Amino acid sequence: MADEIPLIWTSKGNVPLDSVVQEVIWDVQKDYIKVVERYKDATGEVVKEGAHVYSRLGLTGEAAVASF
Amino acid sequence: MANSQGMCTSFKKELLCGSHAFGAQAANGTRTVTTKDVFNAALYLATATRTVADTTYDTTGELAGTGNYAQGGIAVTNANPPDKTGTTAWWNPSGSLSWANLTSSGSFDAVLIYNDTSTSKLAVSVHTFGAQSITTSTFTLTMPNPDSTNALLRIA
Repeated sequence: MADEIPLIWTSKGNVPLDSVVQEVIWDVQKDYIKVVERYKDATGEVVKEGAHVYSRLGLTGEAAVASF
Repeated sequence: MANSQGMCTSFKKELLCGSHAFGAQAANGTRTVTTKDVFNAALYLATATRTVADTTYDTTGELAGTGNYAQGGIAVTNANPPDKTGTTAWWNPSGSLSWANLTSSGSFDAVLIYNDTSTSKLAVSVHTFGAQSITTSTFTLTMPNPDSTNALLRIA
């Protein structure tokens, strides 16, 4: 068990986890927070990239009424 | 051109016409339909032009139907009916939107919410979140807090 190499699923199939480099990018905005998790292989090619967006704020429609 | 977020203008008109049902309603003197509509969420390329002027869903600028993305998008989980707090009415999806094992056909930055039950797939709103591409992974959109200050759609 100790000799097993963890694998990660990428665009090039299952590859050893230690053959890719992980980058985590945060994008914090007023309306949303986004985290991007990116994996690059030894050549720098992106072989896996996911993103998760938390919408902090939806949309408002203003109700308007006329006065007599 | 670019995507820009907002509540679609046609949607506001359609609310006045009773074209959308985010929650079930009791049968009454003028309506017998008591089921709510199904709303979908579709993803659009950063090069697309989805705006508040959109009136219906269409595939122009949508992610291609490849890499585990199906055009038309996915159904929005809608377990909770609209609510109101103070003078604000609001609706919020009851779950996140998630595309698993996705490889996007390009960089995308917008989601269109539309009424999939309606015959012409009436547009509801456009939401933008900055551009990214997805490769063999998951893209998740987590909804805002379900309240009158943050919910996805609010009428104040």
